[in-house]
Amino acid sequence: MLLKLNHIYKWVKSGGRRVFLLNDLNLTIEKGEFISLMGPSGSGKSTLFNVIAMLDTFDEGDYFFENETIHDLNSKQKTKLFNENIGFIFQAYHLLDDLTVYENIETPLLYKKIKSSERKALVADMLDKFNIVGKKDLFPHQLSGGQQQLVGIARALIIKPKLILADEPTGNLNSTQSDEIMQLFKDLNTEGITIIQATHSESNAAYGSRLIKLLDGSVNNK
Amino acid sequence: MIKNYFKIAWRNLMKDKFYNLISLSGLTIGLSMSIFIIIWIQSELSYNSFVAHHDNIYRVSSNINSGGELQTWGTSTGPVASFAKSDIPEVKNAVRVQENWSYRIYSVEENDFELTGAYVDTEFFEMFERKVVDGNHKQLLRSTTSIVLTETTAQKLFGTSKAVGKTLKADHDDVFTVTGVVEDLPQNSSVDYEMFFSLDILKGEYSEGNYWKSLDTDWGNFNFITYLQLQNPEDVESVTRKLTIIQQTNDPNAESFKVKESYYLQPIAQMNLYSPGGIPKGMNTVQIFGIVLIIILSIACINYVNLSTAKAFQRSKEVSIRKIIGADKKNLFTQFLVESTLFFSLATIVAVGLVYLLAPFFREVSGKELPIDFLQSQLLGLIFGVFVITLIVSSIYPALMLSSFKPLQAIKGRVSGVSKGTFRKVLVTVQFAFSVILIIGTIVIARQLDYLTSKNPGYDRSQVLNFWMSGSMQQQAISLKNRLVNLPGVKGVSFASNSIINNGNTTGDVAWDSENPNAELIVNPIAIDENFIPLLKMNLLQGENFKGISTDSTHYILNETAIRLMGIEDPIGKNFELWETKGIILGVVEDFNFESFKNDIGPAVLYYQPDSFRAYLKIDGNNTSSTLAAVEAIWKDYNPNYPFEYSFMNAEYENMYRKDQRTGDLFNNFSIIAIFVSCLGLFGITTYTAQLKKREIGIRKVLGASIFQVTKLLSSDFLILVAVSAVIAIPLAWYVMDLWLQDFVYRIPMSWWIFALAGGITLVIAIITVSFQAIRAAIANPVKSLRTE
Repeated sequence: MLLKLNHIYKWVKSGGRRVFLLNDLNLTIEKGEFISLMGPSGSGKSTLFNVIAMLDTFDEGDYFFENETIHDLNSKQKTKLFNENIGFIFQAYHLLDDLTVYENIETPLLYKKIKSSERKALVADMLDKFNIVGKKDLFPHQLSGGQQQLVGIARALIIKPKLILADEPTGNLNSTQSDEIMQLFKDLNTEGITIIQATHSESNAAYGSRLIKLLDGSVNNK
Repeated sequence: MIKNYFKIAWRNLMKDKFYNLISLSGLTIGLSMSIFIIIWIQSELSYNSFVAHHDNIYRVSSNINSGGELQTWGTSTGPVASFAKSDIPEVKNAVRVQENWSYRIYSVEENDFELTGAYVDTEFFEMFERKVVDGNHKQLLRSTTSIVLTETTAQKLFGTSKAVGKTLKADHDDVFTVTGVVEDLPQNSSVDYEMFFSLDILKGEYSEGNYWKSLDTDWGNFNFITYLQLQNPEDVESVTRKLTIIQQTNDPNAESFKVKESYYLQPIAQMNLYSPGGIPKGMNTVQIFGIVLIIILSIACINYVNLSTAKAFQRSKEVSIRKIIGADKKNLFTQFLVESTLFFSLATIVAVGLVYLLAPFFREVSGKELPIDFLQSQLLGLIFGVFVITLIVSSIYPALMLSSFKPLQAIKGRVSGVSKGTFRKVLVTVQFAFSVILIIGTIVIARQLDYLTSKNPGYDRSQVLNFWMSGSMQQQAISLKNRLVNLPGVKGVSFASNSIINNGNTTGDVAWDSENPNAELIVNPIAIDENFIPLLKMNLLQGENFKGISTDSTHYILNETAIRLMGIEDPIGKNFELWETKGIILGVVEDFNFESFKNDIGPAVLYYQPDSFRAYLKIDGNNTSSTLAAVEAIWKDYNPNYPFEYSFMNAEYENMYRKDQRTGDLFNNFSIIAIFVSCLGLFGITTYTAQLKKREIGIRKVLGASIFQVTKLLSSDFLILVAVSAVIAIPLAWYVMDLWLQDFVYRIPMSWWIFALAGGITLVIAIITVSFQAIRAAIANPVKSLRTE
């Protein structure tokens, strides 16, 4: 088991009444799974991502990540756990505009205080793996959307995360680029990385090993 | 990692050039002005500090009782130094200095020079630590014909500092031999003379037959500045006590002094900013400039904080991404701190360059020979201090704010506290409050100086030319007067003993019919002739003017203050005695200012003397240059070797307030800069606000808002802040400027319109600054702004 969510509730107060964002949500994810998360807008996909990423709190329920009980950790411990285990990939790529491809990929390692020589080796490996060595000194605005997303994925992978959270990773891409990225995800999954992707596209969802449908803040796999 | 921080900082600096330029110019201007103020204050405070042990040297000020009022003079009598040296063991050394007024022109062969010299005791060079460049340091002023030059003077006169043995002539007559050349004395000191004479010359003017037998027993003439070097600063009290006892036992007139302590020992470092009695005078100005320094630095810092936090909105996305890919708060805090440090370093470097560039201008405005030496450790330390303090003050808040964004919200552009910017509003208010204070200060100072130069001093000084006679002029005064009167353009001629713009003469040697036999009064005696009062249109209240006849030598004309202080009723015809010459009071003249308006009008005694040294010429001013040429021709008849030196009373008058005028000019410049920097900041913030509200403006315009309404929407917030700041600033400015005005006996009232004007000026400047951006945003095509969102 990689993570397990038990009876998770999250709500906001609106006009004195609770509006549930997550409503008795139960989910267990095993190591090596490739989950496709689907659901209409407002079904709670983003909230669930934030909860899994430990970037957001929940109001009731238990959250276990490997053998840690997340609901008992303070925010500093949660940040540490997140930084060491989870890589985030965004629909809008969210690369750092002022940094080159190389520097974007290198930055997470800087924050982990990895030594310079090791850093170089790791970034070089990553550039190689994604076939973007030639683009390493370009800035994000000089790349196509697909290339930018590759850099985004490389940046997420550089810390060797156990889990990748991808929030509509191909939402801004055309279908060819989209298929390439999905194939890449599938390959990564084969290498053993657990992936959860949120998507609106049935074809993208088909790349996953399991489909989870979300409705009104809880899992609805009927 | 640190290298990486610098790399990011540099790229950020290069990216947003427009705003960074605004922010950088504000900071650079602020810092360079601060450096100037620091140098200026440093120079004011380091007066006389060229002597290593200056804390141990004191100037002896004399306490005098005049008509029941205590006066403290910066000068003292000859015996003070000699007794101090022989009878007080705590005194290590004592030196008397008297400026040499007897000579004006010094010549080497055919070349004439004008130099300032002083009579000094030989120990002078030891006390003021002058290295002897040439000559025997034990015999520097061995005779009355010896002269010691400073290095620069020797260079000027002889082209070499090895000038010992060479001779020069004073006033084309007396020959002096150079016996020594010493290190120069700095301008920022009370002893910046160019040449030195032996005090024995003055001693030689006494003889057994005189009332005062010798200079060392003359308790009557307060002609010297006496410097005492003590063994130990703790001895000040005991030395003061002992000097008082010595004076009371030896001075035959000690009875009449009736002061507890006859002397006050003033540390020489205080001589320029404190009165001889130790009352802070110029110190007020130094403090005010200290405040200006803090204000300018605050404005510069506030600008930086405002612009960085306004920019936070743009940086929130970056912060969020960094957090998600593993940065913690400390990483981000450090990153922003490094950015600020780089920014401030750049600003400081440019500021230092600017200081060098603007130094001539600043020297001109301040009228000071300011040393600008960045390698000087104290200045370096101060600049570093300013750098560190401003950096800390202005970088911590933005760094904290930026590093504490919640990543997932910030990434979607929902940033708390950025768009509202309450803190920034407070800062803008503070900034403009400072600006209003400076504007009020500028107006008050300008008005006061204007008042001083235009106030009626009790006589008419327009078109009055005056000069000191020299050579044989005074011996032939009567014929000279006839020649001058007959020149075309000259309306009248009068001779008097002093300058009445700033009369320095005083005496206590007066007597009148008083109920109190011990009554004492220090008066200002001025010798005049019968033409003086009509020439200067002074107002004779009672009695009559001198008639130019022989009996006038026993007639006196007193001013109102003298009559009041002596308590004489019906003064005309009453007895009065000046310098043991008995006579009667002939007239009473209306009070007039014979000193700076910083001082009250004192008692004045006008006595008759037809051949005094100073000539006053009233001219018609129709053809001033030909009149001047004619006067000069007559001058040359009497002394062909002297240049004709004259001045107009109006010019002299303005001269007297030059230091105040300079303070005013400095203040003026600093205010303009402070306001400019504030407006830079306001301009930057408005630009950001306009950007943030681009979408809102677009929607409003589509819904039919006019350009005026949109401009109002963007500007009104800031203009309210400026108005609030004026309200805060006014009482503060009132307090500070009232303090400054206390320096003047004659001063302007603090009228309400000064404050209204200052508030109005600030508001207008702010409106112009804000509306420029606001109008630009308002006239932009809404379709464009909506599409980009």
